[in-house]
Amino acid sequence: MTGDTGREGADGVRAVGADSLLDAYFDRTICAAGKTRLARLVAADPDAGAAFSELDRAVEGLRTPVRAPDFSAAILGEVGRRRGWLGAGVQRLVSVGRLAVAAVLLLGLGVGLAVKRWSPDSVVFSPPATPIAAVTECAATDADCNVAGLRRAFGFDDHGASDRERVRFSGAGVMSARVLDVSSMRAALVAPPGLAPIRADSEGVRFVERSAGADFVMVRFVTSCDGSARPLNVTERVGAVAVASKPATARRTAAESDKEPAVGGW
Amino acid sequence: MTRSAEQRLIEKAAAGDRAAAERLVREHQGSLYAYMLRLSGRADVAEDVVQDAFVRVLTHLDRFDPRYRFSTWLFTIAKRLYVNACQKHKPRYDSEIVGAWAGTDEGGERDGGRAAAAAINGEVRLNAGEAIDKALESLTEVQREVVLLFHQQGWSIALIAAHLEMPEGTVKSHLHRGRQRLRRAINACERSRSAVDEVWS
Repeated sequence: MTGDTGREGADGVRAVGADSLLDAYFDRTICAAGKTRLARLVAADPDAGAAFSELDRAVEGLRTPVRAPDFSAAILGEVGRRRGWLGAGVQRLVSVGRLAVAAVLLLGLGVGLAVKRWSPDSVVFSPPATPIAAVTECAATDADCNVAGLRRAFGFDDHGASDRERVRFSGAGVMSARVLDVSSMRAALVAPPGLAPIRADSEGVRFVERSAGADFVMVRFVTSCDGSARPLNVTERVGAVAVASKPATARRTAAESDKEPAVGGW
Repeated sequence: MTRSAEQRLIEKAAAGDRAAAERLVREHQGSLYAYMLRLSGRADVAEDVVQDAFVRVLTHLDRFDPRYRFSTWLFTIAKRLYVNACQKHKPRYDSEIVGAWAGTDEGGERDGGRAAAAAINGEVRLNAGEAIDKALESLTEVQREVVLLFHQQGWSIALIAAHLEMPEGTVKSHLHRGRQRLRRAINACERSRSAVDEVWS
């Protein structure tokens, strides 16, 4: 039909219509009404009939089966050389093993459900609720692990204590302290609730005392943020150290509070 | 074979089951070989490509995406191998004849018919399968591929478009033109056969 491009007028229109119908038919997109139209056209128009039969023959020719050699032995041999196949015995073992594992799992689940039904307290599928005290203990343990990191973060080492200066507080006792570059501790300094945020470059920050034991870290600084120019203990604010170092801190705090009656705040 | 059954076979073959792999090969080797034979026009190329494609697929079954058809994956790999093979040894199809046909799509259809007739000149008696093979020579590479995938393998237009990474409209266009060329080439082949018959009689 495409070859009949020289047609004009009604014949040309009919040829275009036949082409589209033939294309739809062989594209497998023709509708029932289109099939009826095509059948009428093929019966009435010898050219359309010839085109249909020729196309049909060509398409059928394409569908003619081709006798293919059997490549399976060569292919499987080559694949076997590259990656190997499991032997029949191993495959059986794998299958039996899978079945056995599945059976054991199912049996275990069944037994668990049965025991749970007859004795609900003896089988617990979900962990019991943890008291908050236990959570705190866990936090303390975690914090213990972090003490070493905090010591490093605050610049302590084993010889750090000898570097300390003795600084006299205004009108108060003497404590072990050291004037610091507080900017290095900016991230750690958090004001206690109710006070303005402590900035390392604030006017009121005078000095900071860092001290640490084997299992605790303490940070003190004198600030005038609250107008009283008294030292604040920010130990509680430095991560969770307070929890971990509570016993040691408490001991130290008690001991030092005797020496620092006027400064206080610990 | 249903897709779920095929998927189970693939899983078994991937786990090292030789029998499952063999079933996969036997299931698809015929269609792939027929496709490659008619695409390349050379049995040796088709055999090499089919074997290489299966070896690659079976050694990389873990990469198979079950969302797609196994045959689509297999044919894609085979096509890449065929392209590589074409670069090594020229397929049987004469590119000059294909080029002559390619230049006659719009106006010179009858010249194309003569070119196809010339291509088969010298052949004495051709059976139907050989006539089809000869006629396929007159198609361009992409027309041949589309026509084979659609009519021989029964793929949908959408699947072919995805496989060849071209719009569905382009696939249809290649399909229509390829079919018309095929028809004319078969006619030319038969005319030639009739002429030979007359001479012999």
